[in-house]
Amino acid sequence: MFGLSHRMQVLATIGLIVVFFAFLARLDFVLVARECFDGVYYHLGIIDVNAQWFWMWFVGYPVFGLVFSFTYYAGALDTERNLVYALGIFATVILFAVGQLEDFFWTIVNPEVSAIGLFDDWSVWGWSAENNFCYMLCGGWNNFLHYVWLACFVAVVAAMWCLIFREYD
Amino acid sequence: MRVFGLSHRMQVVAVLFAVVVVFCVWAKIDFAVTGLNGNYLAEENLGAYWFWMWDVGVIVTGFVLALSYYAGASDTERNEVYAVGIFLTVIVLLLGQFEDFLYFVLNGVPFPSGDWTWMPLYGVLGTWTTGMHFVTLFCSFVAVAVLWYFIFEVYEP
Repeated sequence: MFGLSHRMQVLATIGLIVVFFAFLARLDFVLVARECFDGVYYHLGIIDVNAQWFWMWFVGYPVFGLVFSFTYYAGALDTERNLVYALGIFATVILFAVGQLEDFFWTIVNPEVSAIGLFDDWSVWGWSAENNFCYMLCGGWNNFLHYVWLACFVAVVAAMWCLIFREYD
Repeated sequence: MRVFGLSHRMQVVAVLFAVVVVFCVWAKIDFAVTGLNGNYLAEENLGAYWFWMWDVGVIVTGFVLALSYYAGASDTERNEVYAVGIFLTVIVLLLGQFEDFLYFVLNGVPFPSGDWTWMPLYGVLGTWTTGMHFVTLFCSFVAVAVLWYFIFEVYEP
């Protein structure tokens, strides 16, 4: 495809998964917030947030990850390499999910948020107290912890693919 | 050994069922967003939700699925056609309002007895009923079935 090597095709797939997370961030914003004249207005009471979290994040991520990895494997030759690649794609989705990549994109791809600098300070992520296991574990959650957490998971994903490529490609 | 010992054709059919599972998850999300006690998003949010979920989201998901398939596949015309077929399947099922069907079925909501006034086609045609929805859905199923029948006939006889 486009003259790309197999390794680059896999990387393109991972790149598209990142785009998928960016899309989820935009979708998340239009569901729980809207821009008003002096900032961002939240209307969490309008929708069933718990159900949305459950179906979008707890069910959605594993399902999307499984579907992406299975789709990869369905087209691939039946080799150990491709089985590992398929598992790698699934693991990538899960690691990005646990690493809160979508939350990171929430402040990036939504100009309504970035324009008012909502996340410029070290504000506690109070809305995640009931649903975010990191918040419950640490008793709080702020931008700094989020960035460190995300960087760790991105590093894990990068290391995982480096090892996979070195072993199989 | 292939996945569960399936032939390649059956693996592709399994991918199509996985697409159906994705639509099921969307239907549950949609209900969580728009179906709670008759509380609906504000008008501007609803428009944005529709745009990002159904216009952008479906296309992005279709692309990811098609590329996921093609990334692992050997570089042949057959696999190109299969990848395009997977993408088209997602789009045709969307246009056939498959998610709307699952919305009512999976969430225990009765199908409306009157017009579906929130549907874009209602604005175009002046009416859109459950019967018309079923006809559209049936046509989309037939289109997907015909698409894959011909693909399998040509590339996997």
